[in-house]
This record gives sequence, C-alpha cells and structure tokens, in this order.
Amino acid sequence: MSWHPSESQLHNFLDDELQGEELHAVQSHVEDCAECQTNLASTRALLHELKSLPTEAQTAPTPWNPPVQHQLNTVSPRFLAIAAGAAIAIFAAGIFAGISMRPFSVSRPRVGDQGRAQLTEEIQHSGTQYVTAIARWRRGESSKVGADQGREAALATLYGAAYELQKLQPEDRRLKSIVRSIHDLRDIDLESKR
Amino acid sequence: MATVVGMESEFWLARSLKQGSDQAFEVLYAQQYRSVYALALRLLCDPGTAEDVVQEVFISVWRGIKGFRGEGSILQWMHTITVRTAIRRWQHHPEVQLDEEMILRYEQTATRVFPDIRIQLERAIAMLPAGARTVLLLHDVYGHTHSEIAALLDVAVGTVKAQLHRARNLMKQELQR
Repeated sequence: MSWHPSESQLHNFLDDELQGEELHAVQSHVEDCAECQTNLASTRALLHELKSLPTEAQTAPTPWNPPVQHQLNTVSPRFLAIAAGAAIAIFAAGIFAGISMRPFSVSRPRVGDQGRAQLTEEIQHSGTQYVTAIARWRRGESSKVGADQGREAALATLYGAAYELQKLQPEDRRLKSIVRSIHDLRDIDLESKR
Repeated sequence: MATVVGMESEFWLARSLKQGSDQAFEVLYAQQYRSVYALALRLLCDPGTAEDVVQEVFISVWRGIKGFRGEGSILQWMHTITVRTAIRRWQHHPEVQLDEEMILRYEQTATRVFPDIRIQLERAIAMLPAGARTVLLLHDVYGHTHSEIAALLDVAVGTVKAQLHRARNLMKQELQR
C-alpha cells in the first residue's frame, strides 16, 4: 500500500475532526490497512486510559485560609512599575552616590564630602524604607493606608536627598537623570491615587 | 435530571459568590479543591507548588467572581485560571525543569493522591514538555475541546492539535519502552 494517512490525520480521525473527502479517504484506507489499524488501536487504548484517569485528588483539602485584605487588593501593573522603577532608581542613586565618594574628591572641601556621605546614607535609608513599605503591605503586615503613607514619606525624603546631592555635583548628568526619574516616580505615584 | 439540578445549584452558587457570601465560597472550596489540586499537581508535577497554585486560584476566584459571566461551568472557569496560573509559574521560574528526582517525588505524591492509578501513565504525562502536557491533560483527561483550549492558551486551534498529536505520540513511545 503506497499511501498512508499521516499521524495527524489518524489523530484527527479518532477525534472526529475529519470531514468530506479526507474522512472518506482515511476511513477507506484504515479498513484495509493492518498497520494503520494497529496504530489506531494503540492510540485508542491510550485515550481510553487517559479518559479513565481520576480527575480529582483523593486527599482532603488543606484548610482554607480566607485571603486577608492585602491579597485581595489588586496590585496594578502601574503600582508594580512604580515599585520596580523606584527600586532601580534607589539602587542607581545609592551606587552612584557611592561612586562619587571615591578618592578623586579628595581635592574637594571636606564639608562637601561629609554632606555627600550624609546624603548617600539618607538615600539608602529612604530607599530601603520605600521598598519595605511595599513589602510589608504585600505581606499583610500593614494597612494600605499605612503603606501609602510610609511610601510617600520615604519617596519625599529620597527625592529631597537626591536633589541635594545633585546640587553638590551639578555637573553630573547621570545623577541629574536619576533625580528626574525619582521626580517622575512621585508624579506616577500621585497619579495612581487619583 | 441530575444535570439540571447540578446546573441549578451551580447557578445559585455563582449568584451567592457574586454577592460575596463567605459560606458559598467555603462550599465552592470544598467542592472544587480536589479537582483544582489534581490539575495543578499534574501540570506542575510539584506538590508544594501545586498547593500554592490552588490557593492562588481560589484567591483569583474570590477576587474575580464578579467578572464570571456563566458562559461555562465554574469548574471550567477555574481550570482556565489554574492553567494560566501554572503558565505564569513556568514563565517566572523557567529554570524549573523536571529532573529524575522531581519525577520520583511526584510519583510518590501521585500514588498517595490518586489511589489505584497506573503510575507509568502518570510518569509518562509528567515527562512530556510543559506545552504538550497542558494540552493533553485538558483535552484527553479533562475533556475540553480544541477550541476551548485554543481560547484558554490564546493560540490557534491548529497549534493545539499539533501539540496534542505530539503529546500522544510521545506518550506512546514512552509507554512502549
């Protein structure tokens, strides 16, 4: 026998997915072809076994814990974008502030170094507070209102410190761009609450 | 008659759920936990992750019940959520590939969870690639149609058929070893 239906046609034949001439051709062939009959029989046996598999587990349900409010709150993509963006900005600002404290600044006035060190610490601290506020809310350890307030306060401090640091290093374009990013985050944050 | 009664009780269950009844939700949980867990376990082949997914599914149901339009059964809708949650897990943790140890652990759980099953069959399903496994489970075990699966996975019907045929052929090869 020169022509055999493809594997795909045999599966479609079993699933009643063939019509018209194709159905007729496959049906006529299968009636006379022992090889295809064997193939179909093994697939039929497999389907029979699969259909008889239990569709329910026999184990008792684990106790249902009604979701607490934080799990029911829809976390909007915008909110996640804010969190992710803030984390990146904070990280970048922290790293950058750290880089700017390298020995090349030895020639600068001492007071500037201290100022930068303080601002760097403030950026890192408020950045951590910002991310912690989000994490605590997600874990249900704080209310949404509390988390919002914590996040707003941390973002305000973060912005202020980054802005001050930029004033100390006005020539620094990367820092300027980071400050702009934090400013944008504040805008998005305010927008998302409207 | 049983079907009519079933449909009617499901209608009232869906209505109570939409009204925010905690009691209705407990009924739904008691009714459907075993089914959702069975599907999640077979899709993910990891008991711990499957339990997490079940919790996620019920939270999604709680949150989204108002959007349930009743075009299919609640269980069908829950299957959709279960599959989508499992797919998200795969997307977020692509490094999780089933190795021999995981399959053995899965077999131990499956033997406990599904008494009297053919373990070779469950093993062959577990060894399928994730996409093929999903389609085979939904079509050949849970009885969803090609077009329902296509809509659920957001792919063409032809893709579903191709995955299904591939899955069956791989199953036959594995079981003939």
